[in-house]
Amino acid sequence: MQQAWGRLWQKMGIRAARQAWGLAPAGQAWALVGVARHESDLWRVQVATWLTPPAGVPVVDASWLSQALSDVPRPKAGTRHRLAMGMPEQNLVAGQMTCPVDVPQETWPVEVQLEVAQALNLPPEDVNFDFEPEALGTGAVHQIRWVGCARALVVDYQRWIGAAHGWHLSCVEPEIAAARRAAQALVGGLPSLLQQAPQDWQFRLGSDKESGDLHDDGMAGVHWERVFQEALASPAGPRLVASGLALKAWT
Amino acid sequence: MSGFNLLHFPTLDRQQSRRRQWRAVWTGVGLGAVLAGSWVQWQSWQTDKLHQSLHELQGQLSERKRQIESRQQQAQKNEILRQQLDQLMRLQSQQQAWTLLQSSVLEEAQSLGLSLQRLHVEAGRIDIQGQAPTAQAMTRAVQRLSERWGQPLHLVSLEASSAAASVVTFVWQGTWPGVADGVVSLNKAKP
Repeated sequence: MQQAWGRLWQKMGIRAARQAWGLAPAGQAWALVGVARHESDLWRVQVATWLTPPAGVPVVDASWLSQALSDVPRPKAGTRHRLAMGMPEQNLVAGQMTCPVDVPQETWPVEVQLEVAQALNLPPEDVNFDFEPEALGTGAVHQIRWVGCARALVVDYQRWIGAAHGWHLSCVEPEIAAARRAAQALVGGLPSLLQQAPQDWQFRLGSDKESGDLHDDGMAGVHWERVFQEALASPAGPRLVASGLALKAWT
Repeated sequence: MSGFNLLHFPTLDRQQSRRRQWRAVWTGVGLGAVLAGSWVQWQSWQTDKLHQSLHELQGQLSERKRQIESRQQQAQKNEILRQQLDQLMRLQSQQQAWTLLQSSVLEEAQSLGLSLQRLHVEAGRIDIQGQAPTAQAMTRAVQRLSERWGQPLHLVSLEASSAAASVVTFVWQGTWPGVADGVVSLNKAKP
């Protein structure tokens, strides 16, 4: 009962949000995109910028990000801004596991945590993860998809954002998922990614039927996937990821 | 992987469970406060009601006391009036008895030619002093009055008058019972 209230409360907060931010790594730099709701089903990029490290900063240390974020000009400077960050694929492990239906849901996190720890070769307490069960089929097992990473990476993210004044880290998501969300919601489809400046990008959430059809539609799906991978690898890729991360606030 | 959030486990999950615990605590506290407030309010309402009842009962008690006092005063007044009435009735009876006594004595005296000089009643005793033309007339009168009253009259003294040989001066004495009895006796003795 309390969980249901909590979810409803969270959902109401998300629905009421007018602006969200995404931050995606791009080599040493980071792509920061702020997306604002323009109409009931239309979102626009409000801010798209690169955060680059000052000269002389060690490659592995991204502490400069805190200061860079604090310096970003934002509307409603007094409030805390919701920020989602992307986790590169190379830092992630993902997989599927089966769980008998008689295993209680409360024990799933432990099962997944052990699975992730095993995949990363880390102690269970040193991993962060998330999972989602697939719709129950006819079998007597649950299929659970999971993704995980080293806890140290998430702790770094939390430390950087925690030190940045006026920001709140709400989500750390695999980059590919965020990019796919943004690509599917992009008004004009993937071609407009390269034809328009990021400041002109517009997104329509809830219209992924079109891309879903593409996925399901044999050759067209393969073609879409190839264009998507090319876009992801292009200079616009990190901004696409950042846009998708920002859009997660409304999904 | 559209819905994944790597903050979810264990960070957010832990925070959420902590938040749930806090929410449960605050819900309990809030509910407790509401219940306590309601209870206090109800108690206050009950107390007010009891105070009101007490006030009404005290009012009724005061009214009853006032009525009792009034009735006691009325009863005392009635008692005084009754005593006054008794006294008046007693006086009336004595007055009637005295009138009868006097009239009967005067009647006998007139019929037998007696001249009465003094009639005195005090503390149940009657003294009659007078003169009779003859000793026989005096004797007859004393007999008739004794019969009439039902009480004997005694001759206390008898003196012959110096002016006329047959005229005698006498003093009778008798007991005069209670006024009511006297009246009855006189009435009974009346022919």
